Amino acid sequence: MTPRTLTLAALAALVVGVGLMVLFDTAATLVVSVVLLFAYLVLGVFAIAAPEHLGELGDRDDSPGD
Amino acid sequence: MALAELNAAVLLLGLTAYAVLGGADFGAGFWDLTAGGARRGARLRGMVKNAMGPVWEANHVWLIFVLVVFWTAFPRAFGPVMQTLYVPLYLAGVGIIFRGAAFALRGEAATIVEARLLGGAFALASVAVPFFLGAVVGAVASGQVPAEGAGDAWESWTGPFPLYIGVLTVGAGAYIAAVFLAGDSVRVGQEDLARAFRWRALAAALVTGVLAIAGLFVARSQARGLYDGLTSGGGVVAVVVSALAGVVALALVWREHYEPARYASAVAVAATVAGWGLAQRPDFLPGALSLDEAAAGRPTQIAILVSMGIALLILAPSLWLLFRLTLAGRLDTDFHPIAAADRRDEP
Repeated sequence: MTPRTLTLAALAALVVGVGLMVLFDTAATLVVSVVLLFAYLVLGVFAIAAPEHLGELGDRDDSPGD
Repeated sequence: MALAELNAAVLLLGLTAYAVLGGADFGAGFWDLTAGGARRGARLRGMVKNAMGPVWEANHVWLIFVLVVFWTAFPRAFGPVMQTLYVPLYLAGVGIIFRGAAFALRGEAATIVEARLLGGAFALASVAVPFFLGAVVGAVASGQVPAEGAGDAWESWTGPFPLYIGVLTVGAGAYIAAVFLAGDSVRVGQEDLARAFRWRALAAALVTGVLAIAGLFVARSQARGLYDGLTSGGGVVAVVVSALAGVVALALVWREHYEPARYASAVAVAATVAGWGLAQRPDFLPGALSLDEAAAGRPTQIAILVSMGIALLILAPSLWLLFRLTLAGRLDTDFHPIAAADRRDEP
Protein backbone atom coordinates (compact mmCIF):
# COMPACT_ATOMS: atom_id res chain seq x y z
CA MET A 1 0.00 0.00 0.00
CA THR A 2 1.25 3.48 -0.80
CA PRO A 3 1.34 6.15 1.93
CA ARG A 4 -1.50 7.93 0.12
CA THR A 5 -3.67 4.81 0.20
CA LEU A 6 -2.79 4.25 3.86
CA THR A 7 -3.69 7.85 4.70
CA LEU A 8 -7.05 7.61 2.93
CA ALA A 9 -7.80 4.28 4.58
CA ALA A 10 -6.85 5.69 8.00
CA LEU A 11 -9.04 8.76 7.57
CA ALA A 12 -11.93 6.63 6.33
CA ALA A 13 -11.56 4.33 9.35
CA LEU A 14 -11.57 7.34 11.69
CA VAL A 15 -14.61 9.02 10.13
CA VAL A 16 -16.67 5.84 9.85
CA GLY A 17 -15.53 4.66 13.31
CA VAL A 18 -16.48 7.90 15.06
CA GLY A 19 -19.67 8.16 13.00
CA LEU A 20 -20.81 4.67 13.95
CA MET A 21 -19.95 5.33 17.58
CA VAL A 22 -21.87 8.60 17.81
CA LEU A 23 -24.83 7.88 15.55
CA PHE A 24 -25.71 4.29 16.46
CA ASP A 25 -26.06 2.45 19.72
CA THR A 26 -25.95 -1.26 19.02
CA ALA A 27 -23.40 -3.87 20.03
CA ALA A 28 -22.51 -4.62 16.41
CA THR A 29 -21.79 -0.99 15.50
CA LEU A 30 -19.75 -0.53 18.69
CA VAL A 31 -17.57 -3.54 17.92
CA VAL A 32 -17.08 -2.38 14.33
CA SER A 33 -16.29 1.17 15.45
CA VAL A 34 -13.66 0.01 17.98
CA VAL A 35 -12.03 -2.18 15.32
CA LEU A 36 -12.07 0.77 12.90
CA LEU A 37 -10.51 3.08 15.49
CA PHE A 38 -7.71 0.59 16.14
CA ALA A 39 -7.30 0.30 12.38
CA TYR A 40 -7.08 4.09 12.22
CA LEU A 41 -4.30 4.09 14.85
CA VAL A 42 -2.20 1.51 13.05
CA LEU A 43 -2.86 2.69 9.47
CA GLY A 44 -2.41 6.34 10.46
CA VAL A 45 0.91 5.72 12.15
CA PHE A 46 2.31 3.76 9.23
CA ALA A 47 0.93 6.23 6.71
CA ILE A 48 3.07 8.94 8.31
CA ALA A 49 5.99 6.79 9.47
CA ALA A 50 6.50 5.76 5.85
CA PRO A 51 8.07 2.40 4.99
CA GLU A 52 11.21 4.01 3.56
CA HIS A 53 12.08 5.13 7.09
CA LEU A 54 11.20 1.82 8.67
CA GLY A 55 12.23 -0.81 6.15
CA GLU A 56 15.97 -0.55 6.77
CA LEU A 57 15.84 -2.03 10.26
CA GLY A 58 16.34 -5.65 9.32
CA ASP A 59 19.64 -5.09 7.56
CA ARG A 60 22.03 -4.77 10.49
CA ASP A 61 22.92 -7.67 12.71
CA ASP A 62 23.97 -6.74 16.25
CA SER A 63 23.36 -10.16 17.68
CA PRO A 64 26.24 -11.70 19.57
CA GLY A 65 25.90 -14.76 17.42
CA ASP A 66 24.58 -17.21 19.98
CA MET B 1 -7.76 22.93 50.29
CA ALA B 2 -9.81 20.26 52.09
CA LEU B 3 -8.29 16.94 53.10
CA ALA B 4 -10.35 15.06 50.52
CA GLU B 5 -9.08 17.37 47.79
CA LEU B 6 -5.50 16.88 48.93
CA ASN B 7 -5.91 13.12 48.77
CA ALA B 8 -7.61 13.44 45.37
CA ALA B 9 -4.58 15.44 44.20
CA VAL B 10 -2.29 12.66 45.49
CA LEU B 11 -4.44 10.12 43.63
CA LEU B 12 -4.26 12.11 40.39
CA LEU B 13 -0.50 12.49 40.83
CA GLY B 14 -0.12 8.73 41.08
CA LEU B 15 -2.42 8.27 38.11
CA THR B 16 -0.31 10.71 36.09
CA ALA B 17 2.88 8.84 36.97
CA TYR B 18 1.27 5.55 35.94
CA ALA B 19 -0.13 7.05 32.74
CA VAL B 20 3.33 8.33 31.75
CA LEU B 21 5.59 5.50 32.92
CA GLY B 22 3.18 2.59 32.70
CA GLY B 23 1.79 4.07 29.48
CA ALA B 24 5.27 4.11 27.95
CA ASP B 25 5.70 0.53 29.06
CA PHE B 26 2.47 -0.61 27.41
CA GLY B 27 3.14 1.54 24.37
CA ALA B 28 6.43 -0.27 23.82
CA GLY B 29 4.34 -3.40 23.41
CA PHE B 30 2.31 -1.66 20.70
CA TRP B 31 5.50 -1.14 18.69
CA ASP B 32 6.50 -4.73 19.37
CA LEU B 33 3.14 -5.86 18.01
CA THR B 34 3.46 -3.75 14.87
CA ALA B 35 7.20 -4.33 14.30
CA GLY B 36 6.66 -6.71 11.40
CA GLY B 37 7.92 -10.25 10.82
CA ALA B 38 10.51 -12.07 12.90
CA ARG B 39 13.51 -10.96 10.86
CA ARG B 40 12.41 -7.42 10.06
CA GLY B 41 11.18 -6.66 13.58
CA ALA B 42 14.05 -8.34 15.45
CA ARG B 43 16.13 -5.22 16.12
CA LEU B 44 13.14 -3.10 17.04
CA ARG B 45 11.94 -5.77 19.47
CA GLY B 46 15.45 -6.01 20.85
CA MET B 47 15.40 -2.26 21.54
CA VAL B 48 12.04 -2.54 23.30
CA LYS B 49 13.41 -5.26 25.56
CA ASN B 50 16.67 -3.38 26.12
CA ALA B 51 14.89 -0.16 27.10
CA MET B 52 12.23 -1.74 29.29
CA GLY B 53 14.47 -4.19 31.11
CA PRO B 54 15.72 -2.03 33.99
CA VAL B 55 12.50 -0.09 34.65
CA TRP B 56 9.41 -2.12 33.71
CA GLU B 57 8.68 -3.38 37.23
CA ALA B 58 9.24 0.05 38.79
CA ASN B 59 6.85 1.61 36.27
CA HIS B 60 4.00 -0.48 37.68
CA VAL B 61 4.61 0.56 41.29
CA TRP B 62 2.33 3.47 40.49
CA LEU B 63 -0.63 1.20 39.85
CA ILE B 64 -0.28 -0.16 43.38
CA PHE B 65 0.12 3.39 44.68
CA VAL B 66 -3.10 4.46 42.93
CA LEU B 67 -5.08 1.45 44.16
CA VAL B 68 -3.91 1.89 47.78
CA VAL B 69 -4.78 5.60 47.88
CA PHE B 70 -8.07 4.93 46.10
CA TRP B 71 -9.40 2.24 48.43
CA THR B 72 -8.10 3.89 51.61
CA ALA B 73 -8.96 7.53 50.96
CA PHE B 74 -12.14 7.04 48.94
CA PRO B 75 -13.67 3.72 50.03
CA ARG B 76 -17.24 4.81 49.25
CA ALA B 77 -16.24 5.25 45.62
CA PHE B 78 -13.82 2.32 45.46
CA GLY B 79 -16.57 -0.18 46.35
CA PRO B 80 -19.02 0.90 43.61
CA VAL B 81 -16.23 1.16 41.01
CA MET B 82 -15.00 -2.37 41.75
CA GLN B 83 -18.54 -3.79 41.92
CA THR B 84 -19.49 -2.22 38.60
CA LEU B 85 -16.28 -2.39 36.57
CA TYR B 86 -14.87 -5.71 37.71
CA VAL B 87 -14.92 -7.19 34.20
CA PRO B 88 -12.50 -4.74 32.52
CA LEU B 89 -10.43 -4.51 35.71
CA TYR B 90 -10.18 -8.30 35.86
CA LEU B 91 -9.21 -8.45 32.19
CA ALA B 92 -6.59 -5.73 32.75
CA GLY B 93 -5.24 -7.62 35.77
CA VAL B 94 -4.97 -10.86 33.80
CA GLY B 95 -3.29 -8.96 30.97
CA ILE B 96 -0.73 -7.43 33.36
CA ILE B 97 0.16 -10.89 34.71
CA PHE B 98 0.47 -12.48 31.25
CA ARG B 99 2.42 -9.52 29.94
CA GLY B 100 4.90 -9.50 32.82
CA ALA B 101 5.41 -13.25 32.65
CA ALA B 102 5.87 -13.18 28.87
CA PHE B 103 8.35 -10.30 29.09
CA ALA B 104 10.40 -11.96 31.82
CA LEU B 105 10.50 -15.34 30.05
CA ARG B 106 10.85 -14.07 26.51
CA GLY B 107 14.61 -14.32 26.28
CA GLU B 108 14.55 -17.85 27.67
CA ALA B 109 12.36 -19.45 25.00
CA ALA B 110 13.72 -22.83 24.02
CA THR B 111 11.75 -23.32 20.83
CA ILE B 112 10.37 -21.20 18.03
CA VAL B 113 6.82 -21.94 19.14
CA GLU B 114 7.58 -20.82 22.70
CA ALA B 115 9.23 -17.65 21.46
CA ARG B 116 6.27 -16.79 19.27
CA LEU B 117 3.76 -17.54 22.02
CA LEU B 118 5.63 -15.39 24.54
CA GLY B 119 6.14 -12.59 22.03
CA GLY B 120 2.48 -12.69 21.03
CA ALA B 121 1.28 -12.73 24.64
CA PHE B 122 3.49 -9.76 25.51
CA ALA B 123 2.44 -7.69 22.51
CA LEU B 124 -1.29 -8.43 22.67
CA ALA B 125 -1.48 -7.89 26.44
CA SER B 126 0.40 -4.60 26.00
CA VAL B 127 -2.46 -3.32 23.85
CA ALA B 128 -5.30 -4.98 25.79
CA VAL B 129 -4.32 -3.71 29.27
CA PRO B 130 -4.32 0.05 28.48
CA PHE B 131 -7.49 -0.45 26.45
CA PHE B 132 -9.35 -1.95 29.42
CA LEU B 133 -7.88 0.54 31.91
CA GLY B 134 -8.86 3.38 29.58
CA ALA B 135 -12.37 1.95 29.34
CA VAL B 136 -12.57 1.97 33.15
CA VAL B 137 -11.56 5.64 33.23
CA GLY B 138 -14.07 6.41 30.48
CA ALA B 139 -16.84 4.61 32.36
CA VAL B 140 -16.13 6.51 35.58
CA ALA B 141 -15.80 9.86 33.77
CA SER B 142 -19.06 9.40 31.86
CA GLY B 143 -21.05 8.64 35.00
CA GLN B 144 -21.64 4.92 34.45
CA VAL B 145 -20.93 3.95 38.08
CA PRO B 146 -23.88 4.33 40.47
CA ALA B 147 -23.15 5.37 44.07
CA GLU B 148 -24.82 2.27 45.48
CA GLY B 149 -22.58 0.04 43.35
CA ALA B 150 -23.46 -3.04 41.34
CA GLY B 151 -23.99 -1.14 38.10
CA ASP B 152 -24.34 -3.15 34.91
CA ALA B 153 -21.18 -5.25 34.61
CA TRP B 154 -21.12 -5.01 30.79
CA GLU B 155 -23.08 -1.95 29.68
CA SER B 156 -21.19 0.30 32.10
CA TRP B 157 -17.94 0.07 30.10
CA THR B 158 -19.01 -1.05 26.63
CA GLY B 159 -20.65 2.24 25.71
CA PRO B 160 -19.14 4.49 23.01
CA PHE B 161 -17.29 6.84 25.36
CA PRO B 162 -15.49 4.24 27.53
CA LEU B 163 -14.45 2.29 24.43
CA TYR B 164 -13.24 5.47 22.75
CA ILE B 165 -11.13 6.37 25.79
CA GLY B 166 -9.74 2.83 25.69
CA VAL B 167 -8.51 3.28 22.12
CA LEU B 168 -7.21 6.77 22.91
CA THR B 169 -5.23 5.39 25.86
CA VAL B 170 -3.55 2.83 23.60
CA GLY B 171 -2.61 5.61 21.14
CA ALA B 172 -1.27 7.91 23.85
CA GLY B 173 0.86 5.12 25.31
CA ALA B 174 2.26 4.31 21.86
CA TYR B 175 3.26 7.95 21.39
CA ILE B 176 5.01 8.27 24.76
CA ALA B 177 6.77 4.96 24.22
CA ALA B 178 8.08 6.03 20.82
CA VAL B 179 9.52 9.24 22.32
CA PHE B 180 11.19 7.30 25.14
CA LEU B 181 12.48 4.58 22.80
CA ALA B 182 13.97 7.14 20.39
CA GLY B 183 15.98 8.61 23.26
CA ASP B 184 17.01 5.16 24.49
CA SER B 185 18.11 4.17 20.97
CA VAL B 186 20.41 7.21 20.75
CA ARG B 187 21.88 6.33 24.13
CA VAL B 188 22.87 2.82 23.05
CA GLY B 189 24.20 4.02 19.71
CA GLN B 190 21.45 2.64 17.48
CA GLU B 191 20.93 5.71 15.32
CA ASP B 192 18.77 3.98 12.70
CA LEU B 193 16.43 2.73 15.41
CA ALA B 194 16.31 6.25 16.86
CA ARG B 195 15.20 7.52 13.44
CA ALA B 196 12.59 4.78 13.16
CA PHE B 197 11.17 5.59 16.59
CA ARG B 198 11.32 9.31 15.82
CA TRP B 199 9.04 8.77 12.83
CA ARG B 200 6.79 6.56 14.89
CA ALA B 201 6.60 9.24 17.63
CA LEU B 202 5.72 11.96 15.14
CA ALA B 203 3.12 9.74 13.48
CA ALA B 204 1.60 8.58 16.76
CA ALA B 205 1.45 12.20 18.01
CA LEU B 206 -0.49 13.34 14.96
CA VAL B 207 -2.77 10.31 14.85
CA THR B 208 -3.52 10.41 18.57
CA GLY B 209 -3.96 14.18 18.49
CA VAL B 210 -6.60 13.86 15.77
CA LEU B 211 -8.23 11.04 17.74
CA ALA B 212 -8.34 13.25 20.86
CA ILE B 213 -9.93 16.12 18.94
CA ALA B 214 -12.49 13.77 17.36
CA GLY B 215 -13.10 12.46 20.89
CA LEU B 216 -14.59 15.82 21.83
CA PHE B 217 -17.52 15.00 19.50
CA VAL B 218 -17.93 11.63 21.16
CA ALA B 219 -17.77 13.27 24.61
CA ARG B 220 -20.29 15.91 23.55
CA SER B 221 -22.83 13.28 22.59
CA GLN B 222 -22.03 10.60 25.20
CA ALA B 223 -20.56 12.36 28.26
CA ARG B 224 -22.02 15.85 28.24
CA GLY B 225 -21.03 16.70 31.81
CA LEU B 226 -17.39 15.89 31.14
CA TYR B 227 -17.47 17.79 27.83
CA ASP B 228 -18.86 20.88 29.58
CA GLY B 229 -16.22 20.59 32.29
CA LEU B 230 -13.42 20.29 29.74
CA THR B 231 -14.60 23.30 27.76
CA SER B 232 -15.00 25.73 30.64
CA GLY B 233 -13.18 26.97 33.75
CA GLY B 234 -10.12 25.07 34.97
CA GLY B 235 -10.86 22.20 32.58
CA VAL B 236 -10.29 24.27 29.47
CA VAL B 237 -7.05 25.68 30.93
CA ALA B 238 -5.79 22.12 31.44
CA VAL B 239 -6.81 21.17 27.89
CA VAL B 240 -4.93 24.17 26.49
CA VAL B 241 -1.83 23.39 28.59
CA SER B 242 -1.98 19.77 27.43
CA ALA B 243 -2.26 20.81 23.78
CA LEU B 244 0.62 23.30 24.10
CA ALA B 245 2.83 20.74 25.84
CA GLY B 246 1.94 18.25 23.11
CA VAL B 247 2.99 20.70 20.40
CA VAL B 248 6.24 21.49 22.23
CA ALA B 249 6.96 17.77 22.59
CA LEU B 250 6.27 17.27 18.90
CA ALA B 251 8.69 20.08 17.98
CA LEU B 252 11.35 18.63 20.27
CA VAL B 253 10.98 15.19 18.71
CA TRP B 254 11.18 16.75 15.25
CA ARG B 255 14.47 18.43 16.24
CA GLU B 256 15.67 15.16 17.82
CA HIS B 257 15.85 16.55 21.37
CA TYR B 258 14.45 13.41 22.92
CA GLU B 259 15.27 14.01 26.59
CA PRO B 260 13.32 17.29 26.91
CA ALA B 261 10.62 15.70 24.75
CA ARG B 262 10.12 13.07 27.48
CA TYR B 263 9.28 15.80 30.00
CA ALA B 264 7.08 17.78 27.62
CA SER B 265 5.13 14.59 26.89
CA ALA B 266 4.77 13.96 30.62
CA VAL B 267 3.42 17.49 31.10
CA ALA B 268 0.85 16.89 28.35
CA VAL B 269 -0.34 13.71 30.08
CA ALA B 270 -0.35 15.38 33.52
CA ALA B 271 -2.46 18.25 32.17
CA THR B 272 -4.92 15.78 30.63
CA VAL B 273 -5.32 13.92 33.93
CA ALA B 274 -5.67 17.22 35.80
CA GLY B 275 -8.26 18.34 33.26
CA TRP B 276 -10.30 15.21 33.92
CA GLY B 277 -10.20 15.90 37.66
CA LEU B 278 -11.12 19.55 37.23
CA ALA B 279 -13.88 18.77 34.71
CA GLN B 280 -15.81 16.52 37.08
CA ARG B 281 -15.06 18.49 40.25
CA PRO B 282 -16.66 18.43 42.85
CA ASP B 283 -17.89 14.94 41.95
CA PHE B 284 -15.87 11.77 42.33
CA LEU B 285 -18.45 9.65 40.55
CA PRO B 286 -20.17 12.13 38.22
CA GLY B 287 -23.82 12.64 39.10
CA ALA B 288 -23.62 10.04 41.86
CA LEU B 289 -21.06 10.82 44.56
CA SER B 290 -19.18 13.99 45.48
CA LEU B 291 -15.54 14.04 46.56
CA ASP B 292 -16.54 14.67 50.19
CA GLU B 293 -19.16 11.91 50.15
CA ALA B 294 -16.65 9.44 48.68
CA ALA B 295 -13.92 10.28 51.18
CA ALA B 296 -12.98 8.28 54.27
CA GLY B 297 -13.14 9.85 57.75
CA ARG B 298 -10.81 12.66 58.78
CA PRO B 299 -8.38 10.49 60.82
CA THR B 300 -7.97 8.14 57.85
CA GLN B 301 -7.41 11.05 55.46
CA ILE B 302 -4.69 12.47 57.71
CA ALA B 303 -3.10 9.05 58.20
CA ILE B 304 -2.94 8.53 54.43
CA LEU B 305 -1.30 11.89 53.80
CA VAL B 306 1.29 11.25 56.53
CA SER B 307 2.03 7.71 55.34
CA MET B 308 2.21 8.85 51.71
CA GLY B 309 4.71 11.50 52.76
CA ILE B 310 6.83 8.84 54.47
CA ALA B 311 6.43 6.48 51.52
CA LEU B 312 7.55 9.17 49.09
CA LEU B 313 10.64 9.81 51.24
CA ILE B 314 11.67 6.25 50.46
CA LEU B 315 10.19 5.88 46.99
CA ALA B 316 11.23 9.19 45.44
CA PRO B 317 15.01 8.86 46.01
CA SER B 318 14.91 5.21 44.94
CA LEU B 319 13.11 6.01 41.69
CA TRP B 320 15.29 9.07 41.10
CA LEU B 321 18.40 6.89 41.43
CA LEU B 322 16.93 4.19 39.17
CA PHE B 323 15.99 6.62 36.40
CA ARG B 324 19.27 8.54 36.75
CA LEU B 325 21.26 5.34 36.34
CA THR B 326 19.01 4.27 33.46
CA LEU B 327 19.22 7.56 31.59
CA ALA B 328 22.99 7.68 32.14
CA GLY B 329 23.21 4.25 30.50
CA ARG B 330 24.68 2.62 33.62
CA LEU B 331 22.10 -0.17 33.57
CA ASP B 332 22.24 -0.82 29.83
CA THR B 333 22.97 -4.34 28.70
CA ASP B 334 24.48 -5.27 25.34
CA PHE B 335 21.95 -4.61 22.62
CA HIS B 336 20.97 -7.54 20.49
CA PRO B 337 17.91 -8.27 18.37
CA ILE B 338 15.22 -10.66 19.55
CA ALA B 339 15.53 -13.22 16.81
CA ALA B 340 14.58 -16.45 18.57
CA ALA B 341 11.47 -16.77 16.42
CA ASP B 342 13.67 -16.45 13.38
CA ARG B 343 15.77 -19.59 13.89
CA ARG B 344 13.65 -21.56 11.44
CA ASP B 345 15.04 -19.39 8.65
CA GLU B 346 18.66 -19.95 9.60
CA PRO B 347 20.72 -22.38 7.54
